[in-house]
Amino acid sequence: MKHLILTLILLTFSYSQTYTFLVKKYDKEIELESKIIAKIAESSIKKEIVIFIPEMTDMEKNIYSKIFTIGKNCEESNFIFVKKNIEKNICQNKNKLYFTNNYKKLLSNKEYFGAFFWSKSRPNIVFIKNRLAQHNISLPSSYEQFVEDL
Amino acid sequence: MIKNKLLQQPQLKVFVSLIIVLSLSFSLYITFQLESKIEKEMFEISTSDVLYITQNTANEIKKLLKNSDNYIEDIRNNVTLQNKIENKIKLLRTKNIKYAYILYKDKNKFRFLVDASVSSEKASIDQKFDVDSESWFDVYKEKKPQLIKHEYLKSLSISYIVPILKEDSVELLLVIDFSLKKVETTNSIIALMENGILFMLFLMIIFLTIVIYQMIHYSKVKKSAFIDKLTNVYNRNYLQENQNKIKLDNYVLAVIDIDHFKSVNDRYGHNIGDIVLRETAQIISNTLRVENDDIVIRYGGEEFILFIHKSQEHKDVEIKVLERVLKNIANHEFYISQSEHINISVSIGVNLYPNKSQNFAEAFKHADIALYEAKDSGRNNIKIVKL
Repeated sequence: MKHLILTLILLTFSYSQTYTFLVKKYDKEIELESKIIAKIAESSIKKEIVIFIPEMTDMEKNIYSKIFTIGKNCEESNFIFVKKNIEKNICQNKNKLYFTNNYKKLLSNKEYFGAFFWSKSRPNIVFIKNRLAQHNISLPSSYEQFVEDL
Repeated sequence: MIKNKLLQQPQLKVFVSLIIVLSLSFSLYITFQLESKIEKEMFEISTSDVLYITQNTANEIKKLLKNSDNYIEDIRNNVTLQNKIENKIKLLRTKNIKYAYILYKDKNKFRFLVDASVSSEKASIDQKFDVDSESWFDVYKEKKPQLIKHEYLKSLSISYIVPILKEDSVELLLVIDFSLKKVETTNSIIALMENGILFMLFLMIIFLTIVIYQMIHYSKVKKSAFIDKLTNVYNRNYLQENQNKIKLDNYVLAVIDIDHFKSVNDRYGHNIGDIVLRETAQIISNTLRVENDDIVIRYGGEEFILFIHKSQEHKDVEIKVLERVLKNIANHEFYISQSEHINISVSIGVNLYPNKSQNFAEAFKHADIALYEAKDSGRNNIKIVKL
């Protein structure tokens, strides 16, 4: 009986972070973001997605790894999601899909084909039409409202 | 042995539980309704000024654009006009109003035209704005200001949208977004009131429980006062309390007296006398038809009164019941020791029409006359009074 109770207590504590935020902080906003990015990536790339997020935090790594295969660097990945303000060249190989969380960066840098960002506390998604065409990306019709002809 | 339906405990318990559950449900329903009404009223009170000011701002913007043929193009191409409008809507921003901006509709997309947000959150002109509800489009149909509640947005509670019209057509939308702080303040006041209501509800439930407990307790005490301890049938108190409530139309009245009971007491002692009384009462109760609300009362000493419910379907069934009582008592062996027993008999006087009497006392008198007749004619028989 003692062993059974001990085992149950151990099991309860081992899985505690899945049902309480007291043990480990959990960010719902990043979880929502990862799910949206997953939808976008799946609609953009038909083969297996390997994501790379420069300067990824441990929290992001933890949440994104539940959905994606995470690349160690840009070269071995096919979907690059740039969240930080990084000016240097992220990747030598340009034949990748670049996505950002900054609308201004999307407008100024032609490498990015789209952006997911928060505007007035609301989630917003923008794809640039001609950049989608450059990468031969054909999005489902439900994404039409997010496509901009800039 | 007491089978009166009025005093049956399971039914009383169900009734009491039902009363508590219904009271609780009703009170909770009223509380929730009240809470929802208070929330609406409070929000209206706390925001009415802001909504009025926003409407005024929209009117002022319209005045600025009075010479314009195309609101969107003119604002887009005129930086001075943009700044003037931005300065006007910037005044709307407070600690409770997080954003104030002007949108226009481009096909089915909304786009920013002027944004009074801080520079880090300022949207550029023509930047697309994804809306989260179809209600945004309703403003174009109804041409009236609209409040939109945000259930899922992390830091916004409500958006207030005022249409700016040009020749009866909605051209621009002036939007203000209330932050959660506003609703939090309202909710904290509502929570305070809600706690007060719940506390009062709690007190009411306690009070109701005490009242119901007292009722049950009183009912038990009353029941105990109406039951003869020896025979476990109703006693004379019960008869005194209920004789005017019992509908004589529905019953045949019978009086039963144990024959030679005094001799039993004298010969075998009072303990045996008690056994005879107890077992006689038990036989009477078991022979009567409980489901028909027949009533047995120990009237005093060795005398019992029976109210036998009249049958609408079977004639003379009441007499047959009494015959069974007579027979069952006569056949019963009353043990006076482990091996010895005695047999006793009863005499029964019957009033078939107690309803013809003015009251119970008179009806009883007639039944008692029949009982004396039964005694006089040799006991162990049933006599029916002729009225």
